[in-house]
Amino acid sequence: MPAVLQLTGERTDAPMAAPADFTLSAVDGGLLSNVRWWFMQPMANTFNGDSIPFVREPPPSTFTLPVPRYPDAQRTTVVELTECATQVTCRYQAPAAGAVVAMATLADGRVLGARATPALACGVAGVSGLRAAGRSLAAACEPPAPPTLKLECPSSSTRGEKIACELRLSDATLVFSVSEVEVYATSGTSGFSIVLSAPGPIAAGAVYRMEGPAVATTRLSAKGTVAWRGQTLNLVGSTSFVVKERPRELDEYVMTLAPKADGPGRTTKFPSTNRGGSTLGLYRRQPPLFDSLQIATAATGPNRGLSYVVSVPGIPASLINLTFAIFPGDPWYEAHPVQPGPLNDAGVLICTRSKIDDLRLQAERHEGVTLASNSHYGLDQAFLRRVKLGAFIGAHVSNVAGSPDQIRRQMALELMQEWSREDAYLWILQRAFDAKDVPAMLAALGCSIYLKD
Amino acid sequence: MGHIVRTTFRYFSIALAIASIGVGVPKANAQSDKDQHDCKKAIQIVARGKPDKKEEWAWATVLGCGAAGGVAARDAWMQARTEVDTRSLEELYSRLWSFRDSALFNAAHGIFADAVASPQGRVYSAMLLVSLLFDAQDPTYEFFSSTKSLDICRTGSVAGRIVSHGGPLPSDAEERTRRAAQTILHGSTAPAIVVSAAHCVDQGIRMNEWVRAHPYTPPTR
Repeated sequence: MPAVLQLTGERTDAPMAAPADFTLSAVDGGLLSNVRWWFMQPMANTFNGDSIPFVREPPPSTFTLPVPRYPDAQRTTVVELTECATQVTCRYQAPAAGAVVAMATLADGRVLGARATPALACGVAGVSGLRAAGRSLAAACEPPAPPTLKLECPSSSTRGEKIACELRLSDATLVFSVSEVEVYATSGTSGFSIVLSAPGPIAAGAVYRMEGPAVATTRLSAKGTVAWRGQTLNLVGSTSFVVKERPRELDEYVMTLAPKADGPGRTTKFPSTNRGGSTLGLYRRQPPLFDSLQIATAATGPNRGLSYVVSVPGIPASLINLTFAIFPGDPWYEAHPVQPGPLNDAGVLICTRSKIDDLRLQAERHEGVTLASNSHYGLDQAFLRRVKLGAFIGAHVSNVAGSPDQIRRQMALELMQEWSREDAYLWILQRAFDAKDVPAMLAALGCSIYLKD
Repeated sequence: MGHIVRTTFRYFSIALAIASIGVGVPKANAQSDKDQHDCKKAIQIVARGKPDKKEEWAWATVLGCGAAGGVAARDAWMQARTEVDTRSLEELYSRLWSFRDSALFNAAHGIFADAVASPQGRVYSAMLLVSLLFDAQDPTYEFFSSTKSLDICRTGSVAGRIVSHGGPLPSDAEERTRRAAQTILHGSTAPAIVVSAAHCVDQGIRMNEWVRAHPYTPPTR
């Protein structure tokens, strides 16, 4: 059945800035009489041609014709716009989101009602069950879009700076509930799935704010529900933000202190024979001072519970041990001839003291006393430049529960693990260096350092 | 024990030195007799367990005497059971720390687990166990005796060390060492420095396991 009554006018899904005209007309151009107007709230009380309850006007009204509206329990306010009575055009300024409703008697005596939707005035339906029709109006009378969850954060931040994310509903008139807030944070090669405490019910128009220090690049998602048009809608919202980790200078995380001579240490005291192997020098690498690590933990906000390093510990000076045997005055040194000539038990020319002096210089170079690039120290330093452990430490994030001290210790352990992992690799390089450099040193002497065999 | 890197490289390899100067290889039999004589003498000196400046040659020699040298090293290390002077212990340790031998390992393991052994000797035994198990680790008394139970034991690493071999370590050496450490950690009677050492041993073994499971791949340049 074609529509016979239509109502056009301004949007009423929000308070209107100024009065505007709402016009009621018969589609066939026929005359209308007994025109009455109302303003109904809330706007969710839609009337788009669907069958809806009709309620008679309560006393003292004697108007007996039904007005299309929800029963008392479902409506908030119905105000009759008496100043517009009998007029087909009503100039009105909606004070809030709601719906303008009109009713009239057509030329053929039928009484019909129409209303403006929240989005756009439209209408055409009636007490006699006429349905909405007319192409241009039908589109305007589509149901309003369902509410959505809006989750918003700044797109980027720097570690340690405050970041605030907000959670709200697109329809500020509805109460909604958030049952789940999840975080997936990434930093370096680590990723963390964290479930934050959910706020539960949130009042209409209210905003749930999560504010705290930014720690790691984060994808934040939330789930909830809202009651809308008689049904429960599931809500999902998500957003993400990027966190810049640490200043670039941490790329250069190397030893700032030259290696320290630490006496003979555990070197061989008297390199009598080669059979047991004689350790003339040692390079002893020290781990960073992880026990003095300083960390911070986000107590609030979208990165709540994540800890990060605020102060990167230094690397202590490596220690170098050289056997006293290769220094003048030591019995082993002094046992070597001044002049070339003597052979050892194996019939090999024994090095002179002068050659042992050469050996000492080479041993110092080999371990790193002279900071040479072709030394254990030089290899270590070059390795540190290459692996950028500082960037790793700066990027390192941990999701550990416990007291600040427990968190610090756990993070120190994690960093020590990484150090050890890299250290094991460096050790292979150091061993390869020994395998190449030591024979070359000995060959350059042209004699045996051993007195016996 | 496939994970234990056993360095066979010798820092100053005489074979390489001889080759480099073009001198012929000495006669094997004569050398062998000489070696046996030197070893016998060195073993007698080392077994007494008291390093002496005049006899340093013996401590270097014994490392090349195989399992027989290991027995002497074991006897020497038994001095640690009652020794409380850390300077003496360091002297002993610095001469034997790179001698990977089963008898020495068993001696260190026994003292580490021995509740009536001197606490200092137990700490040094813990250090020796770690040194015998892992080529690169560089335990120090400073950290092995002072690390609190949840703190990091800052064990460094060492390059240039030459490990000599006596009798092969037991196949479960690492596990036995870990168990000894955990027994101490779970008990309540060990002195604080021994608990610290046990913590360092336990952490060192765990760290090595972790490193083996997560080998490092360097960035390409």
